[in-house]
Amino acid sequence: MTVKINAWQLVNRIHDLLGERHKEGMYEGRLTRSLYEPVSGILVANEPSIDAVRLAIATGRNCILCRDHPYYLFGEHWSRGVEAELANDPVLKAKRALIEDNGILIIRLASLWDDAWPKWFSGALARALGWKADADVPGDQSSAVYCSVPETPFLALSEFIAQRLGAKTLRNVGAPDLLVKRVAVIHGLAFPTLVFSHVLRDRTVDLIVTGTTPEVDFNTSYIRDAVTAGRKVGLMQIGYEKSEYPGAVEVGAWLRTAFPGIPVDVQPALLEQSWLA
Amino acid sequence: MKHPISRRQFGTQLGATLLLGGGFANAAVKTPERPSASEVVARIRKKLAKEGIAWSGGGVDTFKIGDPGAPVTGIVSTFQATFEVLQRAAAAKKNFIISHERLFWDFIDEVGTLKQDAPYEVAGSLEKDPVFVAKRRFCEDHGLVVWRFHDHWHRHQPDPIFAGLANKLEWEKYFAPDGPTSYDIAYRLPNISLRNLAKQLQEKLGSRDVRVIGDPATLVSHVGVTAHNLREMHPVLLRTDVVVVGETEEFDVFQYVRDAISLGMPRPKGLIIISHERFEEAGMELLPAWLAPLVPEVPVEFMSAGNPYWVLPQ
Repeated sequence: MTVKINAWQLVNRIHDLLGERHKEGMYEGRLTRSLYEPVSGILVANEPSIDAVRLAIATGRNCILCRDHPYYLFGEHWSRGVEAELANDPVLKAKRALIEDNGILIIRLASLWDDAWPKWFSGALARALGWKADADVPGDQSSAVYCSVPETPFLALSEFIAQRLGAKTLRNVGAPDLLVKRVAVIHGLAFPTLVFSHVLRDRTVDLIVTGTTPEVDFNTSYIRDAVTAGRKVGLMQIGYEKSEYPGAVEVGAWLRTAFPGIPVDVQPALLEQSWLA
Repeated sequence: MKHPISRRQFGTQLGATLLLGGGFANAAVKTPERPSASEVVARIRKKLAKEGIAWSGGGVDTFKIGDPGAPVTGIVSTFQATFEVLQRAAAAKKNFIISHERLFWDFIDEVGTLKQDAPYEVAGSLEKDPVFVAKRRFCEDHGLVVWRFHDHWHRHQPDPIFAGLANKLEWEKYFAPDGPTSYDIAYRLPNISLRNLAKQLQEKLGSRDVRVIGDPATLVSHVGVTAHNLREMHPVLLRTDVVVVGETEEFDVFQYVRDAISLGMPRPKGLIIISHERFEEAGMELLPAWLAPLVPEVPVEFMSAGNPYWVLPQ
């Protein structure tokens, strides 16, 4: 039997269970429809893409629970000016019409998960790779998890991860023959450089695996310089979407437990969304 | 907007009298009087002024480390003063590095003025980070001076960064002016599949990490070349079949392009993403030809910062 719950109740129940509220001003929370919109079913999709919206419509799930923003507003300084620039954008208009015409309720929760359970999504990625993360250190609010792995050359580990996650476009920095025994895993966007600086304080870390991280002004240049400075370390970017997907799967499982009367689907794993020339 | 021009034309138009090559070093070393780094910058500013580019204060084009009064033993032009570039410069006995991008990270750039980018600051500091300390110490131990040449280099028309890329790609003849700003560069190529266009970029830029969004078989012709984020790229995305960009965000630009394609929009049909370094480096390769006539006393050479990434064989 489907339980009747509306958008407001859904978000508040999630807040209650996490003991945390999403931040205001971060383009999070309910983004479409009204607070009182009944939730007939949930599709968990990190990216509320056109394809995800179409899937929700086709499967009768009127609520998409996502990490990213349907109208490309990631947040913080990345989104400055985007809303104004896209005010008359045809893609956005068509997407908005598809969402509104089909009564799709979109609830974005992103920093909420990281604030409430900072290691969740990174831990999910580590688990998807078959790795066991170290126990949490009390008070550690960073999203990085640390995993000891069988000693493997960087190149071979790249091949393993590419196959395991279907991530052919992963990009690496560092020596391919670097022997890796300990990995820091950071889901999604790793930013700013202080995140990596903090990780490298653990002298045993040989490799950072993340979704994506800036190249020139930030983290990638930092790792290049760290290598030149003599630190034996590598960086692997597996792709933003690929790095977030295991977390979405776990969110889906958690929602099924938290809301047993509401149908919950997770968008099936997508093919890699870019390809290498 | 003028047509992007070749490396040699660029140097000629801007007053360079020497061709690129190893000739600079031999001519320069024999001259005993060596200018200071600040004197070199003064000459650069003077030449820019003659070219109609007024010097604007408050930008990023400042000394980042070292003594500006130090005599210059040689000049290195580079896309980014990575630690490895600094080591090679020191080994080549060239103590003045002109870098297009930052020396450090997290908007930290000028040693001693770490708070300059307060709006972007995050909790914590890199001041005691071992990599930061090692890089700074290396510069100090080797008497290196690093100066950034970003904003004013971009202000040339044509923008040497885009001209350098067009030169590498041999696209000058396809240039099709597409707007008023330096980010409105576009080319009208003969019809080509997205796959073949990406392959062409891969081969000509010597970069294996060329990522593509879109149907590989889609035919494209109108190619935009732009940079940065969704806000800045958006006008070009709307006008062209495919956009080539160096470093952009997966969490908005990628998603926008994929949605456009899923919706069957006429544009954009694809996105090609190359590294920031491959995208812009060729522009700094042009600098020695422009700079050498100003500093006959010292050698000037370009040093590649190299593509940061390696990828798996496909």
